[in-house]
Formats: sequence, C-alpha cells, structure tokens
Amino acid sequence: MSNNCLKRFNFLKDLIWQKKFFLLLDFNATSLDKLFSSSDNSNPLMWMVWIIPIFIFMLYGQRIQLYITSSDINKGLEKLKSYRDDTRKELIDYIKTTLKPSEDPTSKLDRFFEYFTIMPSDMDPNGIVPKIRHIMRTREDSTRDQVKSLSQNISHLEISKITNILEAVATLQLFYKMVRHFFLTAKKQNNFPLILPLQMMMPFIMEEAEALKIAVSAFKQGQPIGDGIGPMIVGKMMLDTEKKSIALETVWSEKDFEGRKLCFMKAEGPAATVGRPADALEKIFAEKKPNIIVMVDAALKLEGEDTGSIAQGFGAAIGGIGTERFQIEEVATKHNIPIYAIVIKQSIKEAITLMKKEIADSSDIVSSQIYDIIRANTSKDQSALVIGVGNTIGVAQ
Amino acid sequence: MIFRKKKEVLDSYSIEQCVSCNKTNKRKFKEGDFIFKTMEKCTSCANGQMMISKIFGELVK
Repeated sequence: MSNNCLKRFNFLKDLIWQKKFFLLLDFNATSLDKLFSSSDNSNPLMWMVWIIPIFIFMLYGQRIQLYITSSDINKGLEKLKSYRDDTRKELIDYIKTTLKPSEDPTSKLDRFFEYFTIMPSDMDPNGIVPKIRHIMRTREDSTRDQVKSLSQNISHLEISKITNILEAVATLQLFYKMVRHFFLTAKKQNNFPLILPLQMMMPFIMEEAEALKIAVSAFKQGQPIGDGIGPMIVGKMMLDTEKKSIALETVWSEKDFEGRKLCFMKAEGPAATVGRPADALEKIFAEKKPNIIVMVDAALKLEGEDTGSIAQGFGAAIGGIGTERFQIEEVATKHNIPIYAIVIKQSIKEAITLMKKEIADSSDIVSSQIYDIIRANTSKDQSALVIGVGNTIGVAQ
Repeated sequence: MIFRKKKEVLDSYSIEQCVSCNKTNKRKFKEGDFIFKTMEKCTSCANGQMMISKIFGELVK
C-alpha cells in the first residue's frame, strides 16, 4: 500500500472513531430545563455552554467592552462633528447674508476656529490672576477686532453677536477634536482604561454641545438667553434713570430709594456682552463708596431643582474664568463691604439658550428680594450697589 | 430606551406691557425685538407707551 493510501485510511479511521464517540454522547436528553438546571452535571453540552463563555470573557472581555463603548463614543463623535459643521455653516451664511463682505470670509473664519489660549505658568501661582486677565482680554480684544475687520459697516450689536457665535463654534471644534483624540488613541493602543473616563464624560460633553448648537440660533436672532436674567432684573430697575458708560460695554445709573442712594450696574444691552463688571465696580467704588453690594446672576441648578427657583446667599455671584470674581472680592475685602447674592437656578442648556418662561417670570420676585436686602442691610442715607451679572443679549436698560 | 430624553422645542414670545395702564399683550417674537424696547402707543388707555417687558420661550406641547 502506498504512503498516501495509508494516510487516507488512518484519516477515515479517525473519522469513524470520532463519529462513534459523538454518538455515545447523550444529546437526546438535552432539554432547556435540564441544560440550565444546577443538579445535572452529566451533560457535556451544558458543561460547554457554561465554560466556553467564561473563557471567552476572561480572555476577550475587555476587548468586547472596548468595542461596545467605542461604538457609543463613535456615535457621539459623529453627532459632535455634525454640530460643529452645522454651526460653522450657520455662522458663515449669517455673515454672508447680514454683512455682505466683499470677499469670502470662510478661510478667515476657519482660522479663528483654531485659536487657542495658553494659560500662564502656575509653578509660582503668586500674581497669576492679572496674567490670566491680561491673556483673556487680549483674546477678547483680538477676536472683536478680527470680527470688525470682516466688514466696514458692521454695527456694535452685530460684532457682539458674531463674536459669541464664533466662540460657540470654536468650543464645538475643541470638543470634537479632544473627544476624537482620546477615542483614536484608545483604539490605536487597544487601551480600555483610557476610554473609560471619556465614556463617563460623554453625556456632559454632549449636553453642553447640544446647548451650544441651539444657542447659535438665539444669538443670531438677538433673543435673551437664560444667563441674561440678572441684566434683565437690574435693567428694569435702571429704566427712567440716566445711564452712563463706566467700563467697556458696561453702564451704570443712580436712583434714590427710601432715603438711600442706589447704584445699578450691568453690561450694555441689547448687545451680546457681559461687560467688565469688576473694572466698573472699582470705578464706582472710588466715587460712591457703597455700603453693600448685591449681585444678581444665573446659577447652575442641581438635578431635581426647579428651573427659575431663587436662592439667596453671600459672596460674589459671577461666573467665568474667575478673574472678575477675584477683582470684586479684592475690592469688597479691602473696604470691608458685605456682598449679597441672589441667583436664579437653571441648567447649562437653559443658561445659553432662549430664556424660558419660568426664568423670565422670576424677575418680579427677585426685584422685591433685592429691595428687601437693601432695606434690611442699610440704613437711610447709606448706599447700595446692585449688579446684574450675565450676558445681556436682547436686554436693554 | 428607558432614559431617552424628549426633544424640547421652544416657541419664542414677546410680552408688550403698557407703562401707564399695565395692559399686557402676548405675541410671537419678531426679529429686532429686545427687552425694554419702546413700541407704539397703548390702544387701551391711549396715553401710555407700550414696552416689551419680557421675551421668553414656551415649550411646544
């Protein structure tokens, strides 16, 4: 017999033997009840059903989890990309239709979206606040000048609107790039632990991204946003008073109230700006020396809290990077002036999109609370400074 | 999905209020509206001025 024939015979013999062994196994007794019952350990199929997945999950569990998580993050990433592209297109179209620039602004705008800010070194944190303020103001001033250069006949209101939309698109661009970076790095290195913090942060990032996308429409139409509730309340108090400019995009006025002198300050509306309240406060202080400061601002609500609910407290109610708050606290501490705060609660989305009815309706209650604080904490012949903090788009005074 | 969020759609409204008789008028937001913008004379009391007192979004049901 040739070698080949011998091999073939052995192979057939093996097959026959395997077939016999297979037939010996009692597959006929297999039923779902038996398969999953804990008392019957004799069925080899049951043994395989339990053992094989355990091995698969032991060896490939992390990788399976990585694939599932990756697909979730990938969906989020696609959404972020569409938000960025949509808002970018909206901004370009808005500029083209309202400003009618002589040349196509697309390439210039694409350059703005890539702007970055390098924070000062904090190895020695002493004196870091003025450095941060300087850098942030350089960015603000430069962006404003760049927007101004888009068209010769651009109004102050349009500059402020476009600057705000530009910031929204740049933030969406940053979100997209950062998420994509972590996602691709984790995939490239099959690094599951790297993708976990990203998975945890994704809902927060997506919430803010959705809010920014919706905010663009409010900015385009010049509608007041949730954050504008502070300027809205103080703006109402400033009606029928003489408004004077005190700092960049910031106005103030005076009024008598039950024998007291009241000073009001807010960003100059209806432009989309937060003004420079800290600079304004320093100047008003040098001139009027108020006995108390009352700040009104929007504040982020905790989950479960009602939109438009009001809370009173102490300290400088002002958001942002922290430089304005630092400056206000410095002045108040130096002169030993108490700061009272009233906040109107809302979510991050409500703060940067069209003001909701619940928020707008809180204005009258907050106004009466401000007067109550002034009555309770000042005597006649004393004075108080009331500051409406926030973006004053769509809110005049 | 159990935790799927409902999509919120807001309709924007402007509230005009007479500074003299406090009569209010709710209407759809128009581009160019802003809070404390002075509008035409009040049709109800004839001597007061209408002013936009609020602009807000209401959920579309």
